[in-house]
Amino acid sequence: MKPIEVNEILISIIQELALPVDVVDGGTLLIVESTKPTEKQLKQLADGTELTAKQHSQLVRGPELKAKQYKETILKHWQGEAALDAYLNKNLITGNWTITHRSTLAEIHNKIEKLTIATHRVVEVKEVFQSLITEQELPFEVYHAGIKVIILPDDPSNYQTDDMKELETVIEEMPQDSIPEEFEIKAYIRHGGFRLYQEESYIDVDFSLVQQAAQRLQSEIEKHGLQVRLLHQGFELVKDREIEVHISEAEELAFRLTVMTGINYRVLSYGMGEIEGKKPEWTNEMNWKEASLLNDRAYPYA
Amino acid sequence: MTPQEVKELLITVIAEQKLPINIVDFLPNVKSDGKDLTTETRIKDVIHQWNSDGKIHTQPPGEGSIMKFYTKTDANTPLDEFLDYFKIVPFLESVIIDNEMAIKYTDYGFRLVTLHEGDTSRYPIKILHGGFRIEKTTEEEISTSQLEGITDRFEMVLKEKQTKAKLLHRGFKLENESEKTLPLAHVKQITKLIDETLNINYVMDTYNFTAVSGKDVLNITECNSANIRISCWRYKHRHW
Repeated sequence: MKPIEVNEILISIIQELALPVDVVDGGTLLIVESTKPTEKQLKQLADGTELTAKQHSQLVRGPELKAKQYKETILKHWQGEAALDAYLNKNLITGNWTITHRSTLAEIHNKIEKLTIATHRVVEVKEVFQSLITEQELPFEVYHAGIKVIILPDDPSNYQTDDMKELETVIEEMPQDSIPEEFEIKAYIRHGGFRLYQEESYIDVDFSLVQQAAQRLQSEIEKHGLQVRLLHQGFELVKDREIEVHISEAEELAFRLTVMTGINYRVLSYGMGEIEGKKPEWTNEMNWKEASLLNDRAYPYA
Repeated sequence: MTPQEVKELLITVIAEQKLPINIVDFLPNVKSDGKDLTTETRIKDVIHQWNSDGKIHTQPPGEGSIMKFYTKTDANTPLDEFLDYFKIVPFLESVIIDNEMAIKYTDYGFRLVTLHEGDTSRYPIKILHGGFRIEKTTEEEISTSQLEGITDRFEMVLKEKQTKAKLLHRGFKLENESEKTLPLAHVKQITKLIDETLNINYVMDTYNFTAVSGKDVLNITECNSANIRISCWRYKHRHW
């Protein structure tokens, strides 16, 4: 089964449930993984001499730097010099792909499972969050932020887009001397999942219906060796009117929510939001309009 | 009991004992750099200890297998850090004066977390919005027995109301009295003295400094301000 077929099933389920969300295909995801050297390898690399903290740090960071170089080499062969330049110098991505070298596949999968468990509790957590706001009579509204459906295939080679296959060929045909010998560097190609969003800025849906949609998708595709993971990244806290409230109030709510639920929520950013045709005002700790309270991420999936 | 009711109980018990102590609320909208991961970790540790029957979802702080070697925050004594506060403040002031350190301190106050045992909801843990600090209204000495009177009465009412509570002190911010920087050695000296003299696990936590171009940040010896507070964890070396 291909990602495009899963996308079609997901869309039809969403329509049946009359969920007011659209689906965006996450495209190709490339994870370049490096294995940090063991203490034994570090000693060998240091030629038996005592390592200073700086040397130790350099040797530990070595594999990560090599993975970064390898990632960039792959990108150059796959998307060309101009795309690499845009990615490195302008932080621009031309096309529908994500690429990372910072975590291992196992670390990313652990984060996905952790976030999936937290996502099961979102309906109740939102109620708790709402009750904290009401208790303090704060002028805030709460919306969902960052809802994603991830598909974990039992056999990744059976769940590929044409784009993913093309990337696989590119890597196979690349000169193998670009991989450093002393570190184990691996490249994994995965599908980036499906993001659910609303055309309006904030996602205001009955999350139990989203959970129902994910369960139905699971029952439709599990016979193809595909596992569904629903990820909910956190909440968007939005002022319900123009009013000055210090951002510390949002941080305090995040803290109380974290303590009560055992799920780590943090105010990761705050700003003025998008106003069509208007340049946003300068944001400060008092005049902010929206704040993102996000859970621990499962980057690069969510 | 809600955290607000527990705080009101403390105020009532202090009033019953006729002690010159005010409870002054700390609201979150007061800008403070006292938000600290250390206290958050200690709160999680307390909740984890309260949750021995596994009724609620908690995150044990740190790796369980390693953390068993460390002393933890005492989850069964609601007011021990309240009592410690009345030892630490005069001691801190005397250390500063005796050592002629040009240091002023700011109290970060207390956070309050509660667990009502009769609360059958999935989220029985509550935390007071913001925090509060202690303010003495007179210079009058407060004796240990008077403070213990507060503790006994407070704990008795909590037991009657089937409520667990814990006040966690968030430590102090130390700064130079003038615009000058503060030697980190002085900060460490203060925490060492609190630790050794009062037997309270004090450590230097975070500190602010101005980065100087070309100077290695690992070799910083001066800071603009430093936070000192009870340590999250400590090896049980004292008991070996």
